[in-house]
Amino acid sequence: MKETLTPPKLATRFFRWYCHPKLRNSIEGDLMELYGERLAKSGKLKANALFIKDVLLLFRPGIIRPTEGYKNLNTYGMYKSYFKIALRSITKNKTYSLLNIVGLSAGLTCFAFIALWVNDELSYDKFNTNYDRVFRLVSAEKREINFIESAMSSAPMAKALLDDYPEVENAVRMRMREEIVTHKNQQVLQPGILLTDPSFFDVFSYDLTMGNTATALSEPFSIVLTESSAKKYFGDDSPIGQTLLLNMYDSTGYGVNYMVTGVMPDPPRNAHFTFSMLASFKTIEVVNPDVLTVDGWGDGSFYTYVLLRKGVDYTAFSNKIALFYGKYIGELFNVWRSIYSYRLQPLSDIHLRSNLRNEIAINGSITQVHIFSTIGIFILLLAGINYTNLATAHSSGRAKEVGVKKVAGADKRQLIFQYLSESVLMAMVALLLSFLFQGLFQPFLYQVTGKNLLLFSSPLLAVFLFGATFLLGILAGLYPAIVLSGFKPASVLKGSFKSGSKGVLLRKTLVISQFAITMTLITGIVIIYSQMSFIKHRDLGYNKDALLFLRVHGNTDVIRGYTAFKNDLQNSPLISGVAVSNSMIVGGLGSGGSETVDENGNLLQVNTSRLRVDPDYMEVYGIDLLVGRNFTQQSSAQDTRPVILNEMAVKKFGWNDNEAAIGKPFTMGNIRGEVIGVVNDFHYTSLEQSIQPLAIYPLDGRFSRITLKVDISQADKVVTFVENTWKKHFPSVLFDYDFVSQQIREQYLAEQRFSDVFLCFSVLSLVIACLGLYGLISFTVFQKTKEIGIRKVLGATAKSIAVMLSGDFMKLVLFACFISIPVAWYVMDKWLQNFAYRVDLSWWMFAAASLLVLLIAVLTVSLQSVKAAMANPVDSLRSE
Amino acid sequence: MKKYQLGEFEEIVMLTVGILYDEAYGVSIKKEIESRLKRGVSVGALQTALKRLEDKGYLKSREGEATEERAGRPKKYFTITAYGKKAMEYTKSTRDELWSAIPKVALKVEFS
Repeated sequence: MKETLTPPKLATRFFRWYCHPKLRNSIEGDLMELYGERLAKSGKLKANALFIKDVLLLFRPGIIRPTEGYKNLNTYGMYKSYFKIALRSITKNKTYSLLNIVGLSAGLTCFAFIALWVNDELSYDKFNTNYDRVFRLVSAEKREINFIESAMSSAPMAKALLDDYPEVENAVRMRMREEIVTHKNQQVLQPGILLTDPSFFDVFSYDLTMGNTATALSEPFSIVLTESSAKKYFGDDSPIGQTLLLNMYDSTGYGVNYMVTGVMPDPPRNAHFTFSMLASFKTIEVVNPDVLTVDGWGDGSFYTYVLLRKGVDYTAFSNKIALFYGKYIGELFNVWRSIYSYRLQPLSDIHLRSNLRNEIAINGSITQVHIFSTIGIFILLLAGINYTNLATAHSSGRAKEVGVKKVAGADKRQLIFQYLSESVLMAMVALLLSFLFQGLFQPFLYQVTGKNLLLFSSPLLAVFLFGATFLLGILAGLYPAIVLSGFKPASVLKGSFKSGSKGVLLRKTLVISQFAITMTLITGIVIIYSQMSFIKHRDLGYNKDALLFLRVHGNTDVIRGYTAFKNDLQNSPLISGVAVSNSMIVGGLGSGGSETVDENGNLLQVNTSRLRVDPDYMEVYGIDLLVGRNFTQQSSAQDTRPVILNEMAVKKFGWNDNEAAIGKPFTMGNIRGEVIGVVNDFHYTSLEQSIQPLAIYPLDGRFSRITLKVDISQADKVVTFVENTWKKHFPSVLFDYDFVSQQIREQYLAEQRFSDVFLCFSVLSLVIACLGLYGLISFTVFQKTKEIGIRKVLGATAKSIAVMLSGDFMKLVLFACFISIPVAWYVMDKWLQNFAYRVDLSWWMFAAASLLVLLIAVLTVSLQSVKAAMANPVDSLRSE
Repeated sequence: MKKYQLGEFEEIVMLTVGILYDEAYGVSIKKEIESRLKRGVSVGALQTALKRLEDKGYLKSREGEATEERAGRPKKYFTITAYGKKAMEYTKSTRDELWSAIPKVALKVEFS
């Protein structure tokens, strides 16, 4: 037995690696002994195999070394003890920890939601690979009385830009429509039909799942469906080569067949436009060849986007193309050059920074992003402040702990680290809780924002949230950590240590800032709500209730059969008036340039909104004709066109008074006209915009809306009756109706959402601030237990004690009022500037908000202070 | 009830340690069990059991001499502690109690 024992090396090394160091030697000895015996008995091979088997079978929990290491050569154990102490102190002061954690997690939840929302708002259009090279052509129209920028431009412009400027790599035109689609004898109103060029796929990053991007949109009357539209119309069948009947760009008025040439994935929601199907722009050119002629240059009803080559400076290029249309329009240029100009708007500006006329869809607003980001950070701060406040207040309770630690040799740095890790731990617990809250409030968020935002859909954001929480933990814990670690062990342990005075100033400042923030938010919401109610109740200058309107969708049957339909309707007592127009006065009207004269007879170029109506319109809408006369039924046959203006037009054109307007010439698009009347200024746009000059003139036979003045108290009956009458007269046409008041409400949907969200945040911040206040007052009460007892024994009343306890805090809250008022005034005044018509800021709004916050603060404080004041002094003085 | 936790294999190991008295270490225990009970015992199972018994306080260990056939590694000798003895007695007495409680008739079963 002189030979050396050489069992398989790998197995030995593996064994030595995993084995618990305390067992290693003796077990290895056993293994060696067995190996030697087996080697002698059955040979090397068998011994080796058995050795490996033994090593593998030894790989089990009792024998594997613990991961931490068995001898603490590092300070892990110390960290473990920090963790343990943190947990213990959390469970020791349950109320206090609960206040902290609930406050923190509410703040974090809020912050997470805001971060999600902001992140989503900022992500718009970024999926486009050419994001920074795509620009929209914006037209500006400058007249004597106004300057209007529109997102729309004309159909020939894309090609002109592409041909004339080498800087332009590609260009695309678009038009958004909402049309009736007929399929299998079912009519539905299909919004989001985007007519566009084949270059759409090159400029923007969209792709097809079926079909060819190069050819799908090159023929007229072809459409590309999104996957969900394809499913909607064709189910699981392949839609390629099938047709849909659309009432779009057809001369017959009964719809025309469009062939499906492609299918694409549903477009991303975070783009400044979305759509349900694409149709070829060629269709417009075929049906309406005028769009490419000189007339077409003046028809600004399309969107033009250009893709610039790499390295082109867009601002310089944008200046260069201001008058690029000059060479295409001949003599008109002499007039147009001073009126129309063009510029480029970066794709990155469209969603958040653009609020032009004729936007393709409702945009977001960078102001809102700023407001909400600020609120998000504030709310997080509020929660952080709570932690700082409560932790400093409680620091005296842990003075002994610090003293003992210091005596045992802990240095200041270690202690700071310990208390920081405690606050970070607290923040992390709150974060976990906030994930739960986020899941819980997810549907609510969806309802309010209309966006389906999921935290875990973006891991980056989750990481960001972790980072923010970590930072919050550090920031909130820093001050208490420094205070705690600064205690002198000798004085603490001797017992002569008195705390509570430490950090009082800081605590006061923090409480003041908390309440200043809260009060600013609450004042904000009071002002927002008064503005919203102002909007709801403002007299719009026409009768907005009791109006029902029907969309005609260009159907020829309806236009032909209108008179009979109208007569049938008017026979019913439910309907007191019927009128038609080419547009709705909710949500803005189209506009155009006109020529008139000023008071001295000089030519005046003006731009007015335009509305074409029939003679019954004024009466149905309750618009007041101030001077002059209404149109007559045959007025369109006359050779001069009668025009009715609004008072604003009279004022802007510099005419002396309403009477002076009568008989003034008013030429629109080469048709001479004459002013025959003036109406009151009614609001035909949302109240964010001021009333502009408006020209009303007769219809040319076609119309798009029928408005009925109805008995609104029997709305259901009215709708049934109108639908039946409609079906009788136009059995094949979709009955598409709405109430005017409903449309007006929808106009303010964005504001409504904004105010709802704002309300939630203000309430939340109030709750968080009050949680902190509650924590502080309970601490003060606890500290002053003896003092209160002695005071009571000496004859103080419960009332005077409650006042004494609350007084301090109330002073702080009051002080916060005075800080918040100017801030709120400034911010809300800026917000109100968004509205052309707005409430005046008045003192009661600030008073109401301050009072409300004060009241809630008093309630919070008195919960504790009254309890303390009522307590029997015997209980507090008995033990010493 | 759960006063003395002793599994079946643990009990065997305890008993064997008792049998070997001053000579109980890994290999000797393994061989003793294998020869007496005619069953294979893996080093892993045995070492785990020994560690568990030591952790429970039923066994105590001391380091012994290092020999050449062990490549210089020391032996780890085990002896039964007083507490371990109690555990064994407890287990035995519960068994006995149960045995004695079985009615004679119940055991009149033959292999068929």
